[in-house]
Amino acid sequence: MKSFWIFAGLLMAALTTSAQDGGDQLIGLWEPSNGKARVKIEKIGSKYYGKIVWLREPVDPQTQQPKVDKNNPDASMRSVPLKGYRMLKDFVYKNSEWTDGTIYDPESGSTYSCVIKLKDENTLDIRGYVGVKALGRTDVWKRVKLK
Amino acid sequence: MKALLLNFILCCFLLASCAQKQELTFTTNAVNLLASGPLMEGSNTAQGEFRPELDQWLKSQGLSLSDVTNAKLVKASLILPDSLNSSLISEITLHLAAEKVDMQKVGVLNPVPEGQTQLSLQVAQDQQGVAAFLRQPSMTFVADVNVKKDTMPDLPMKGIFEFQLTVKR
Repeated sequence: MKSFWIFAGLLMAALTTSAQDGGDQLIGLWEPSNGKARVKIEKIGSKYYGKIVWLREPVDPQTQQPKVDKNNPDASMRSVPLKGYRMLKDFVYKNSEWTDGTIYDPESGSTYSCVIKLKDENTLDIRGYVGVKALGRTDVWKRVKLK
Repeated sequence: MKALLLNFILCCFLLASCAQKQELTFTTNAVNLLASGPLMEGSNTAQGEFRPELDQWLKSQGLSLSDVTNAKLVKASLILPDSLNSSLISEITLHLAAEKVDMQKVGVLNPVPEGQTQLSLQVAQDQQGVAAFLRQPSMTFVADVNVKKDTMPDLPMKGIFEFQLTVKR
């Protein structure tokens, strides 16, 4: 009986470790299909977050200053720089996908529900939607490999 | 009978409106935030865990968690070590994060004034559900720090945060 509990404990530990490892595949540097930005995904606590770390056009042509979140609905936060902006928030890994999170579109100032799936080691399907998953749009992101 | 009922309803209404709302200030101790080096030019993440223990603090005020109706971050200060002034940093954005609550952006400093070691962030006007963070056993202050050039050492800082709580007595 004792050996059964040891075996069960080891099995649970292995399953937990495996789930964590699976979730951490998301960590890294990714580029959306439009190539306008690069997003670094990291883990804080048990959830995953992504922030813009590189912009193809970092300077706002109108102001000649680094781009800021000028479309934020909260006027007091419009000086937040886009470089470093957390556009992916609060993703939880379950059933081989990252769910319960949101994606922010700095070009419109809109936030959408979002689900992320790993197509292969270096490709993500990122689906932003409003309400139900069927009403959304999927973008394909590629992993950026650092030299 | 009808008049009695009306009087009863009126009394209930008066009693409910007599429950006074009061504003209290809850200030954290210095929270240690750390961005581990090497830091790359651009955005780096500094984070520090904080255990609000708000229930204990409220208890000392004769209150409980259920008395808190609202909370808002009203002041956020970051203190850099003397050896490192702010000339290395271009912008800072502050977020609250916790296991069971969605991350919320609550402060920004853009641009960071040069040559200072104590920085006061501008706090967000629009804050929702901040009380939920304070009710967690543990929350994380996340500071996204844009640095101007690659640098090797860690970036430690201390944060002091002031929350305004609305409570009913």
